[in-house]
Amino acid sequence: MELWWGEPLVTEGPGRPGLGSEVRTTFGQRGFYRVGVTVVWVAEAYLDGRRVGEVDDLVSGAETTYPVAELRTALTG
Amino acid sequence: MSPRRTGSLIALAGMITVSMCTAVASRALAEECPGGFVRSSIAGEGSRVKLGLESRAIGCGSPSVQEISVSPQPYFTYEISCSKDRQAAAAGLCSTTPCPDFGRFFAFRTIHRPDGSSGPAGFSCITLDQAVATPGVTVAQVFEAVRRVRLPGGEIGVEPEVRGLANLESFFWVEGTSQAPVELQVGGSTVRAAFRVVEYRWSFGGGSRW
Repeated sequence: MELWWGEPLVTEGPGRPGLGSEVRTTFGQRGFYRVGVTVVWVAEAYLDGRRVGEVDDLVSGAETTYPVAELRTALTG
Repeated sequence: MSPRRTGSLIALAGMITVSMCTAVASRALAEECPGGFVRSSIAGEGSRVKLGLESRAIGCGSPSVQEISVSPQPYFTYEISCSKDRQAAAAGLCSTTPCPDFGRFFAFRTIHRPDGSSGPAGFSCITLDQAVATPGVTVAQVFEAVRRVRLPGGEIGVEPEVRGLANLESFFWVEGTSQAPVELQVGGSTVRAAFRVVEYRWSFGGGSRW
């Protein structure tokens, strides 16, 4: 088995499919890739209606496996 | 046994009993009256607090009850105004706050007067444990409750959907990362937390050849 690592990307938006996407990447070789996203949150906290402060660095996440195929052209003749 | 001798014995027994009782009482005093107790109570409503102290020493004298009342005093609450994330704080308005010490945060102070009025009372550099959100509840307790909320991780969407092609771009996004405000109970008070996403950190990890 051969393993390699890609560069992490950090965005401020969730990304959308298409040219305007904030998250797009290119895989150099075929294989199965573990694609993960860590969602970073902040929360405004209020107690009895009065602001107490901001709670930051809250995280959640999701992960998936993405298969990548490779096209090869062979010239014969 | 003669009546006279019986009377003497009764008198002697009585003296011994009195003597023992005295001894017991003396010992009890010397040992701080075992069996006694001290009970305190605190009750609050709004900005008023009533403190009570009751002590009782069984066999050491008559019960004594003392009640302590204090006149209402103003108290302060704090609003942490800078991010606890040092990196975020340095990048924002809080980069010049006079709270350089680690673990202390810039907080606006509010005074709550006995007559029910409140108003601004300057600022303070304070730790989360010291910062009072409301009487009996610290800011640290509020933040801890908020941190216990389980947030949705969302679902990753990708295009091309089934599989990507090497050397061609693939697009990724996340769906379902929204969280409605939640209400939590902390020390008898209601904490409301409103969440928002500030960043998505993507990783494309390792690839395994197939």
